[in-house]
Amino acid sequence: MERSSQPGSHRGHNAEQNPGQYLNQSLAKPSPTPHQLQSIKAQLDLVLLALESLVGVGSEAMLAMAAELGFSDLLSDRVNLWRLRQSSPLRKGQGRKKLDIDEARALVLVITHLALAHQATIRQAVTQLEQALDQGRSPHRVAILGNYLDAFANAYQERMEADATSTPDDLNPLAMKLLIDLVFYSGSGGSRKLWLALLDRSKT
Amino acid sequence: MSPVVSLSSYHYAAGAWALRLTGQASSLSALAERVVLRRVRFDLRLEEEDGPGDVDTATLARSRETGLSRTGVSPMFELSGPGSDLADLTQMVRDYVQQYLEDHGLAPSQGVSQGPMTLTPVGLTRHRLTVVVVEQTAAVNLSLLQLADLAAVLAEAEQSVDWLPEAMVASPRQRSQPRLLLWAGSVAAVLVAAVLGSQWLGQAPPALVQSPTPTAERLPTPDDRAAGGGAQTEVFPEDSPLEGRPGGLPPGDIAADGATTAGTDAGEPGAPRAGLPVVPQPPIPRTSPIPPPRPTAESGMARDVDPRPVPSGVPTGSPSPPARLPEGGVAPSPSANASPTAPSPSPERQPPRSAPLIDSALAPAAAPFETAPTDTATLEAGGGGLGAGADALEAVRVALAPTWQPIPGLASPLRYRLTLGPTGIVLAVKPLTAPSRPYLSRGTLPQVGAVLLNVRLSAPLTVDVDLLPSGEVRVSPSPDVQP
Repeated sequence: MERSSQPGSHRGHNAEQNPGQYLNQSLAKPSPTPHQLQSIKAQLDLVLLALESLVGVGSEAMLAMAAELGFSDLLSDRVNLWRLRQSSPLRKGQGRKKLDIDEARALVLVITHLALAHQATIRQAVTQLEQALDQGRSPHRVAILGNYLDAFANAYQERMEADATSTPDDLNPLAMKLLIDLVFYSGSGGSRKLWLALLDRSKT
Repeated sequence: MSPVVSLSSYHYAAGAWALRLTGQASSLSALAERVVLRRVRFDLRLEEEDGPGDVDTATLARSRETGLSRTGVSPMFELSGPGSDLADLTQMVRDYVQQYLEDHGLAPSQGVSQGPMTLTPVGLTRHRLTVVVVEQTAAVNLSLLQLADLAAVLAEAEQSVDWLPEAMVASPRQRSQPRLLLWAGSVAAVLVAAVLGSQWLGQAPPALVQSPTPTAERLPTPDDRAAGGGAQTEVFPEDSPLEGRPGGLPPGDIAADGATTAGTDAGEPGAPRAGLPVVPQPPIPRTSPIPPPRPTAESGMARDVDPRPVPSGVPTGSPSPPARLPEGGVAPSPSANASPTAPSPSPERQPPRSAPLIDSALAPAAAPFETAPTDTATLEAGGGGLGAGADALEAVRVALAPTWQPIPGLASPLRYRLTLGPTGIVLAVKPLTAPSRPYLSRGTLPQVGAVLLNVRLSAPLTVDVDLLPSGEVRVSPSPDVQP
């Protein structure tokens, strides 16, 4: 999906006004959902959300990858996939409570293979993010990052339970952190890295 | 025949990182799902690229000898060393990255260290890799992509290749000492093999391999001499320097004597040989006719060796072939020492095979990349089947050589008949001598079903394998199946 090259369509105005202050404020804030990230279900859904926001993959691409990997029985159709993702405790109106180990494993493999398939885009975005942070510029001023941050915030607010005290900018650190994580998941041993991260977070 | 050490080289790359692993392929590769290397050396490079990542050039002036180097143009960072260093680096990077992924913040909360290496966050997106060796520091600041690529290339290598820790690979010193001792003890067996060579190689192997025993190695006591020896036993003069010497006869003498000495116990080749000198000594040449035999009441067997010290003026470097005929009545060839299949009793003329093997094993550690082939070294055996060519035999020998670790105290060669499939798979293993049988289950040879590395045959091949106490492996076409 081709995304707009205009960064920061409706977000990041504060950042454009004062990039340095914006960065400091954003990064100084703790991750908006520290307790929620401890959940494997929430984390898997968030990584998929980051992939969706960055490269535009949808449920069809996820199902196709699952079929390619031989997980058609676990991820058979869009409803099934939706129910799996709805198991995240962050979701509005949680419709499914459980995610078994095989389903989690299937999602991990789908995520890492999709990340590998879109590795070039992920690397480009991370490179731009590094340069922006080095130069003290707002990521919203970089096309690929602005589009990603906006898409992520929109999707998050649309699908997740809203925190009354949080603002859209509060989601930027989470989005950037997920973007950086995708670089590691897209490389060799990415599945192992993601799986270990999920297990570790679920323990704390 | 010079020993061959096959070095394998594996290359991995991710982003700007390039990793090369070089080592000896272990025979464990046949049992493992991955390639198993030993004596691994690695060369890790970060090439120049457009990305961010800067190098502390002031601290990169490291010589290649100390492990790190920096060439004039590229790479911007280089690290080389033994496999243990790579294992440390892999562990450190993996821990750092995993901690990074598990943290909630954009930057890792803290650095990690492993041995002389440290990896610490610098700012939000930089990561400083530092290696301290011998009071010198090499460091590079890695970007996120470079860190991810470093983790990827190390993970890729880790998933593809296993390498044995150095502790599991005997050090050259550790290996050389037993071999030296073994050589001293095995000279006797070598001479036995020389005497019986024609029997072993030309005819069906005997059911029992005779080898000298501690009984045969001790000096005759005055009682022995008084009782009389065998037909060719000489009487020691009372003032003989060897009289009362606790160490016993020189190995060469023992060997020459061992073939027919009473008390020979071939059923215990692995029994420790007491009283053997550590330093090998060449056999004493016989320059005079054997004196008339003197009967012995104890054994009634013959001694054919004069164990007295070599008189001055007698050349010591040219041992004579055994004087006694083997029991089979086949006279050993006068040129037995030059025969490719007859072990030479002279360590001076023909050094023990273990010596160059040790040197070869040291070679990759000393100069890992000068001698390494650019790619996996593969011996392609062109001829297979019956009467296979020298290439096939050599390929089998090279494949078997790493698995044969001499057994301390072993006096006689172990002989087996191997049947190999076209892919190098071991189809059958048959011990050819009684002493060889108990060692079959001790890993002296690959078991049935194992695959010999780098052996490709056009047809099944049956060979006879001799595992010599010196560490040498000899492979010859099986005489029973020769056309």
